[in-house]
Amino acid sequence: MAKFNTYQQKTDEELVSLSLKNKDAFALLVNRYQAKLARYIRHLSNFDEEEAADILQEVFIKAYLNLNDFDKRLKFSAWIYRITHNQVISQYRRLKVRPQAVVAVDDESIANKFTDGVDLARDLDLKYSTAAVRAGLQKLPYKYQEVLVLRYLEEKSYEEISAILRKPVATVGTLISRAKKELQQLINKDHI
Amino acid sequence: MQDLSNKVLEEIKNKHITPKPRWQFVGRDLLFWGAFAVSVGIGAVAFSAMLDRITSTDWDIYPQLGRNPVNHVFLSVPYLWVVVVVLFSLLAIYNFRHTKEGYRYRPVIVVTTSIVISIVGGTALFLTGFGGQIDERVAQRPPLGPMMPGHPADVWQHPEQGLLAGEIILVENDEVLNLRDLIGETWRVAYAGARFHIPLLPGGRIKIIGEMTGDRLFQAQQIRYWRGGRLEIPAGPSY
Repeated sequence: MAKFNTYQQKTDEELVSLSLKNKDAFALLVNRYQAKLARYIRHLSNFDEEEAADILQEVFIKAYLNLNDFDKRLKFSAWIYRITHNQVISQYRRLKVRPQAVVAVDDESIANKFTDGVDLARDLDLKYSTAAVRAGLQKLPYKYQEVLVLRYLEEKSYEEISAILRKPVATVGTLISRAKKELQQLINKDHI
Repeated sequence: MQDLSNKVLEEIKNKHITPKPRWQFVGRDLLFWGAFAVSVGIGAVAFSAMLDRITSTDWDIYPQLGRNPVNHVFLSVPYLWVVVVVLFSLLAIYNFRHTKEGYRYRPVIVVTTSIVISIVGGTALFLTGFGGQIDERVAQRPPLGPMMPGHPADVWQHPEQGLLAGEIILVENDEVLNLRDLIGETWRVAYAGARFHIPLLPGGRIKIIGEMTGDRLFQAQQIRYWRGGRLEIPAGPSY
């Protein structure tokens, strides 16, 4: 227990090194990330709770198996998000269905994040705009949905998104900008 | 949620899962870097051979070959080398993208860098004469040689069309020399009045534009030096 408490103070990256010697340290990483990754899977897919839980378990097993592949120059969170992203895509491939994100935009503050800098009609009231943003997001191509999820719901930096999606930082910037433009067009088409 | 960490640890223990050793990941990465280097290297060698072939092709002899200029260009392009350069450039890009760091760079930068390395390396190899040697060796290989248009034997063994090439075996005087052609036959070549800027000596390999004037008799109008290799001359009678 004392050891567990000592581990609590450690950074993710330190815990990775410790996990190679002691499985219990890995349990702490699981605890730190399970809620975040469960939410990420929910945003990134339309899998039911049971499927999502299976994917999550598989993610942590894969992470443990590949601990030696973790690049200490990167953030652990980017690495584990990448494994999760790949696992979700693999699951879609297994099921032979097209990926479909369920981007939950439940309140105005989240809606505002997506539309920040987007020239939406000024006279839309916030509630209407939240519904419009939600509808628009569901119609976006998956490549745009996943990048918006990472930027605005998971609040990842461009560098982290680059490592998660394995795309250059500049490409991530372009994708986000295009995604927002397309979102604006979709909202305008539906509501104006 | 606490359950999950227990479930994960239990599965790790039950299935005796252990982290894969680090060397496997390092090895995989090195493999891609190695494949990238090899691809760029082969691309550079192919580029040097392509350059040699392009610079040693006689682009002005299309009238003798009964071709128009465009036709002549299409029939003289070293397609094999072009395909090899493109294929290995693509392979280099693929391998680079699969290294650990590869994703950080924009495709356009990776493509440009790979092509620039092949061009610079290939030009250096061409200048050392390596490109010509490679082109010669490949042209002699049965399955590949015929895939290379513009092979000397195809282009220069047409005396009836005014094209002849081979090795000087004897310089009789200032007006006549004897030449063994690409199929080993000997010609008497009259070269008085012909344009040439090279010394004509026994053992020299030359290309001649002119006119066939009789049985194994040829009137030269222009004599060119045969640069590099690719002149395979069967042994003939010695003089």
